[in-house]
Amino acid sequence: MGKKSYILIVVFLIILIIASYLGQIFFVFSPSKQSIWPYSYTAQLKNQTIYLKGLKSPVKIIISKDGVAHIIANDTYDAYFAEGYYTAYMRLFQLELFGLTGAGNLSSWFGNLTLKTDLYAHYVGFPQNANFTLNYVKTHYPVIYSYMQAYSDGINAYIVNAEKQHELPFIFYLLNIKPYNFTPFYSIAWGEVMSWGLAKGFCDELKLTLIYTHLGYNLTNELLPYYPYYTNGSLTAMPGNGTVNGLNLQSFNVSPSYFWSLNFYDTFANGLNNKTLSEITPLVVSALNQICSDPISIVDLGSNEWEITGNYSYTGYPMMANDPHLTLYDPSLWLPLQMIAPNLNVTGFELVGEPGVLIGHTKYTAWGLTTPLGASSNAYLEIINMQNYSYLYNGVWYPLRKYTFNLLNKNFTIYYTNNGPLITFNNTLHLGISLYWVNQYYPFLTLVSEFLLDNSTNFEQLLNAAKYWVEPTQNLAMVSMHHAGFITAGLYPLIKINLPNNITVKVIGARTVLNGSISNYEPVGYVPFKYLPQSIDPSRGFIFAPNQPTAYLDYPFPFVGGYWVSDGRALTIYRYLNSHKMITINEMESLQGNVTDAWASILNPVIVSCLKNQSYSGIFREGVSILSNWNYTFYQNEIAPTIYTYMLFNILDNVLNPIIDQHGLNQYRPLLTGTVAFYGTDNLITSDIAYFASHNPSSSLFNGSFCKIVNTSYVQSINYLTQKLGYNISNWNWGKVHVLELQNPAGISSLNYGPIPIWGDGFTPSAAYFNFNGTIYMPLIVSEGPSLRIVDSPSTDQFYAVFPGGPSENPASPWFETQLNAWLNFEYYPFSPITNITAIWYLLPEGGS
Amino acid sequence: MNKINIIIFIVSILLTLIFSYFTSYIWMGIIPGIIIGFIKRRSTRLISGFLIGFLFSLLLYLAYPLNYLASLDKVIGNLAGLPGIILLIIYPLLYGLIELSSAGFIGEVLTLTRERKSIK
Repeated sequence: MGKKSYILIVVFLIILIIASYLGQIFFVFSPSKQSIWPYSYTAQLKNQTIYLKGLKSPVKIIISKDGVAHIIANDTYDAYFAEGYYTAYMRLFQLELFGLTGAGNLSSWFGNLTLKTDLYAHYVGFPQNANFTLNYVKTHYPVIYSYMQAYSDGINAYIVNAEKQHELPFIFYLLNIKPYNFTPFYSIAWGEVMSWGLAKGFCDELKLTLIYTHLGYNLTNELLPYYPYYTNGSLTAMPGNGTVNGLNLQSFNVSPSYFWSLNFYDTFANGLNNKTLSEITPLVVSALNQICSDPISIVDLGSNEWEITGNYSYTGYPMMANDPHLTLYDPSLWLPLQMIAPNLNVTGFELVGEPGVLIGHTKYTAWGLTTPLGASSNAYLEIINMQNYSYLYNGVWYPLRKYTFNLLNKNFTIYYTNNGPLITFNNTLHLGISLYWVNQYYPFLTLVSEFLLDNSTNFEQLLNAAKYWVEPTQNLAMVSMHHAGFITAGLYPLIKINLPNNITVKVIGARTVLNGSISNYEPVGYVPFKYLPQSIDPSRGFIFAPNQPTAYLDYPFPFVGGYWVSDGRALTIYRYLNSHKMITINEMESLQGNVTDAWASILNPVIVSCLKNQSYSGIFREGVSILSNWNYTFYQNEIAPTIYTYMLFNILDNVLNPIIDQHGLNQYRPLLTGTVAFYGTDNLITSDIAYFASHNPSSSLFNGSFCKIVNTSYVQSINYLTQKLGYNISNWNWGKVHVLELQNPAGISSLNYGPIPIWGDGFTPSAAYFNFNGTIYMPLIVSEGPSLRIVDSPSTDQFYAVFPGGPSENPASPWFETQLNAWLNFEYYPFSPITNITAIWYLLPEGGS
Repeated sequence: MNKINIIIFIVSILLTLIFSYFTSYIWMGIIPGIIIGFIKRRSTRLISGFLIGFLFSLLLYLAYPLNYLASLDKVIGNLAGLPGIILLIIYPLLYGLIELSSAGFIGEVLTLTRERKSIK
């Protein structure tokens, strides 16, 4: 009996120790109120009264059924405080993640896993620039700073409550991390990240250097022309020959045809000879790997906007539409809300982490944003000596400035020349590449601009707000009660170049790395506001700016560094706007939902005419028949888009592979993605193919015969599709091979949403971008597209919007994907009046009643 | 069932509910387990130790909005690569084992003590 008891005691002790040990590991899943489950309370939105320290007076937040919060405050400070509180309630983890990304301190949460991302942030200068701007705004714009502080205070008030209730997002408990105290620094730092994500110049100049040194001028210019082949003065964002407020290139005695016939890869444009450009290939590759491989991967390029003047709209009043194309996150980058306070009534989308409304409307105005794709950063080749940490400038050696920071208890140092941080250097060559970026030298007053937009009541105030915009340069779409227009807002650094005919011209950006060891190629100021590309109430009745070239050949400050997308979306939008008058709100919405591919409309007839000359049978014949009857739309249930797209992949490979192989670019393939490179989402190559196929089918690009390329590619693609999808061609639906996956911002793939079939492609106005890097694959995962859609007409009080998500980041919440289905089906929600109230929150000052 | 056992059950159930909801340490389950250890019959002691620990900590999930809890469980299960139900059951199971083993341990110690006293 005793022996058995002793054995049992030992057994029970062992069970006890093991169970206790395992229990502590699994504690986060326990039913305890200290576990992850109290977070489930935040999934539901219910009426509540919350007492908050720091609030000055009561605030009411009405949350409507479509997930829009209407914040009604008696004081502007309180409105921003409540915005911060609401944002944190809905998106705390996302907010803090973004803030930490900008601060370059993700490794404090994730350790070595994100060290590379943090180093990237410090190299580009997000935290350094944020501190610079923070001090500037604090001193020069104290009122705006106080609103930024109010937003942070609101966030921190929520953190205190959530910690008390143990209702922090579950990810904090799972990763065993704690939220940090949010400050305006993090808002600015996150703005820097977004800004850099949309900035052009540095990476494009490096890629073009690599391509040019391998392909030479003729082939580079043929594949990546200064302007896409279909561009003309009607298609540019600013219509006409490029003259702006009476100034053009000819004003400086320069003929546009002469100017654009020049080789801007040549020494006069960059201060470097071809031999040097070739020798620095290892440096260029290193800089591309260091900075341009985009470890943060927050934003990409694309977006649509157009504005209709009153005499071209059905109502007789101006209207605008905007859909910025960004990485589609789940939760979205955006949060829909309205802020009402004395002298403030703004509705639209907050960029999570940034106080106020970035894209939206007041009662009298509306505005939106697209990317203009001109250089606001540049790459400089520096002569350096790392033995004594100096750089050569105008024949004199200067000490490199040192910036030291600490991550994971390790010190890191970045060296600066007068042009910016040395992104990479080679001790043997005594050369380095530095990054010049506007934000290093100019405070990020875009935040000030946002506050002014949110308070605008007329067109003049919209334009005034544009004056403060710094980075990223943006096509600011604007409508008021009676005016419609756009301006490419922001600071474009100007570089003075001496043309071969000895005339000096100030240009934007470059086609290659610039010589940084002399002052000749340093920025000499910015494009004056008066001469930024713009168009206000144009006689043709519409303005449109979906990333096509902003200004044409005679623009006085030529975009040598203009890295435009293919013009595909611009063509479709132009064709529609140019052929329609009396446009209604519904038509604006339909155009946003248009899934016609302009390049398919040009290429497919040529392709079909090639294929019809062949005697195909069976499935090959069926494929030709489907392509022959296609109207170039990309809906999920169509088969033609599948055949066309895979054929286009093969055509691209059959055209590009021999060039890449022959010129030794094969090893750099992963670096050749982007608008001015060979691969990506909406680059120039597809428009090149369309142009040459229809204008010069016997071009050397096609080895003398486009039809030959088409026939080969067609057979390859049908064989591939048969292998992947079977012999029943009716099963080859576009939605089967082209699927949407909403990305988790922290990169946790099991929290991604999808895949679900999706319309469109990279060239349709309703864009659904997938990546193509030369390897043919299936399915095509779409992770970038219209991150929101708005259609506004302030005069008629019509404001409609939709975005692919919901307000909450809690995946258990019905508010996680509130508007996703509407977005997928091209439906919209009116922002006002407030109907179908889901919850009302009363935020009261602590100690109040 | 005698009165003492009923009191033991009630006290240990209450302590299980309080400890597993309010505290962050699973080994607090030892305390109700010790109380259950005073039940004389070994089988009753072990079964009730396990069941009280398991069922009453499981019951506490009812404190949360069940539909949202279920959705959250599914998401986290997916994240952890485990079926959601495992996430919910594993802690109560361990709690039950802790109460079982501590009850068993105390019970055996008491049995040995009693035996020694009777030998003397």
